Amino acid sequence: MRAAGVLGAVALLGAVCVAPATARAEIFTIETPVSVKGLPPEVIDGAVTCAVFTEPDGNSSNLGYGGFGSVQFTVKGGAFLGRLRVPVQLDVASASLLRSYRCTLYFIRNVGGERKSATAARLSDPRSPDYREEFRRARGSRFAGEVGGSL
Amino acid sequence: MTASTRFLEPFRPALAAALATAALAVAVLPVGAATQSYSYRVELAGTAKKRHAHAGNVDWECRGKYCIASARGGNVSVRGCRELASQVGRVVSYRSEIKHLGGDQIDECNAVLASDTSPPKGAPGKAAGLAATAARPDSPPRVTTEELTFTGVHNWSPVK
Repeated sequence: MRAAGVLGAVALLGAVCVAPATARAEIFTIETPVSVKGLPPEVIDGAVTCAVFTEPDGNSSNLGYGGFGSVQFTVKGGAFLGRLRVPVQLDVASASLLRSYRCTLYFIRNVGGERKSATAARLSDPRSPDYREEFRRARGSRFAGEVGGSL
Repeated sequence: MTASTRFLEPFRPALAAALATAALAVAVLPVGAATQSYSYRVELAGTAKKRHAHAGNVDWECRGKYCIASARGGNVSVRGCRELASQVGRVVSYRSEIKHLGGDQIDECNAVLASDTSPPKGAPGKAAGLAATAARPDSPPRVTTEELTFTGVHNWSPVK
């Protein structure tokens, strides 16, 4: 009886140890076209991060967080043009629960050998405390540093 | 106990000790020397990787999906959030009694986790497809967003 109890405990411990390795979170892919140009030389990479939500207005309210993913791209000649596939690792049971998403554009700068990232909006918005003159937008150009909507 | 305070249940012993310490501190401090202290609450996407963390010059206590702390000023910062996220995991919300990080700041905070891995580089190509379109039900979940775009003022020579 006692041996059976010990065996049961060992089996339970084994199950607990194995479970995290076998339980894989579902991946939700978000494809995002990206077009950037005219960046200052200090920008070496860019990144797009996406978050998904179970609330219909989660992309603005941040409620119902359901997962997060990020992908980087290389900036050459101050530009990048391409479509990125952002793998979002879900923290909810199923993608069917998702109702909204938000993706944000980041620029990664080389500052004295250190990589510093900040959102394109913060760097290029004159009203932002993080605004930098070298990131000012071309006159009349379209800017979209964040996109979001319903799923 | 209300739903809004239920998350505090695992912290009950730590809170009792903190309250006792705070009461003692208030009792011995000269009038006017006390600086306003605020409680902080962080919700995580998953269970905290560790129970104690030091981030943003603050000591955090984490239980389950929540971390709490107490600090002066009530300010919040992406930097502090990043330091915490790198230790305990992805952050969903980061707030003090008077301030909180916005959605883009939370994303920026969590980006520190993404940079720990080597994400695939995006393949160059022509940008197209501006409308959000859901994938077919029988295919892997996927959505296409509108374009993220920025045009700066720096002129570059054509890349060869």
